[in-house]
Amino acid sequence: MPTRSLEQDRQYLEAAAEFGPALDRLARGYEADADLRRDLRQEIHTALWRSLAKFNGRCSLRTWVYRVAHNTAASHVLKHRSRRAFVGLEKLGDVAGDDDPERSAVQRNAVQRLLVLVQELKPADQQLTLLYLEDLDGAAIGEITGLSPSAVALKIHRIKAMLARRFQQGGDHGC
Amino acid sequence: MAADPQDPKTLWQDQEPEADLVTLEQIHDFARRFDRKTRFTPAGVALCILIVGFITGQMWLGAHDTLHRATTILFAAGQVGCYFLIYRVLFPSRDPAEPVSAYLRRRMVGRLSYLRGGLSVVLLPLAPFVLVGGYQVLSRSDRPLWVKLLPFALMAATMVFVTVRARTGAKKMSAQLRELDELMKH
Repeated sequence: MPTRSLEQDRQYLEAAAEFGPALDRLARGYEADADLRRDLRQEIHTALWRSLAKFNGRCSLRTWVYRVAHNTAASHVLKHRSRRAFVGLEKLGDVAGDDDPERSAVQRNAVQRLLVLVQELKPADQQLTLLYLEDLDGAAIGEITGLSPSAVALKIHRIKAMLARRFQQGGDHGC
Repeated sequence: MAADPQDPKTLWQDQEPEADLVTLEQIHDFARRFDRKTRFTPAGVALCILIVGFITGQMWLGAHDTLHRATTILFAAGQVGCYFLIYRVLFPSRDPAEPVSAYLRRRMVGRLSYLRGGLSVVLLPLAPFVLVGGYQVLSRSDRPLWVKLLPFALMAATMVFVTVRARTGAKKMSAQLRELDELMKH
């Protein structure tokens, strides 16, 4: 129906403008391979556009966008599971850079370490970690994942400890 | 106070967006291609039904007694059962914005069931046909016993190989699923 399609386009553009960069980061967190990551981004954006035909405001647009994106990415991860084991740093060389070369070198190294950490995680932990890194609070993470506040709090506590521990370790040698 | 540049959250959110944008035109194109593929599915199903109908008709015309006719009916009924199960596996009803852990759990359960040999469940409706057909071949054919048994032995060996291979891959998935269940129960 043309009216629905125009409304769907409008909602999609609104969502893409607000959450586009977060969706890019989400795709990076799930997929290290550049070609597969491009496919995943396209899948996520298409799934989001298609889903908006059913968006009825029963939850916020943010919750809807993250749910659709993570669900699409989870399917992608399960589909390519046999290929995934360990992710090499060389795969991460094509993450978009910064204009300032000095800042870029240090920053990229740290970001790559962070990406490897996230990509090594199991899907459920990966989802929670990515939402935590996007600075969503426990209630929002609970709404998106469907987990209880206590389960989210417990997991976030573990994620924080893991990031602090492993990031500190990597920081000593990585830069 | 300025954010710590080495803080994981800051590092994460300071990443540059991807250079190539996904445009609305591209999305429309992907959606159109997907819809086109979806439209082929009923055509594929119709073709399969036609082929099965033709084979059933041939079997029915060649049936000389009750056992042959029963085999034919079991074949047709088994095919209908298979289609129903395949349809449910291929096109599960789904909510695009289902809570993330529920969706992940559903996908993991599906994958685990597949790894544990769940695909053979889809072929289960054909089991009566195979049994009756097998009995028919064994009891009526004049060929040596080993020739009569060979197809069944091959079928059994293939099923054992596929099941054992898949089950080893299922162990890791099973552990992850248990962990997710624990988290969802918490």
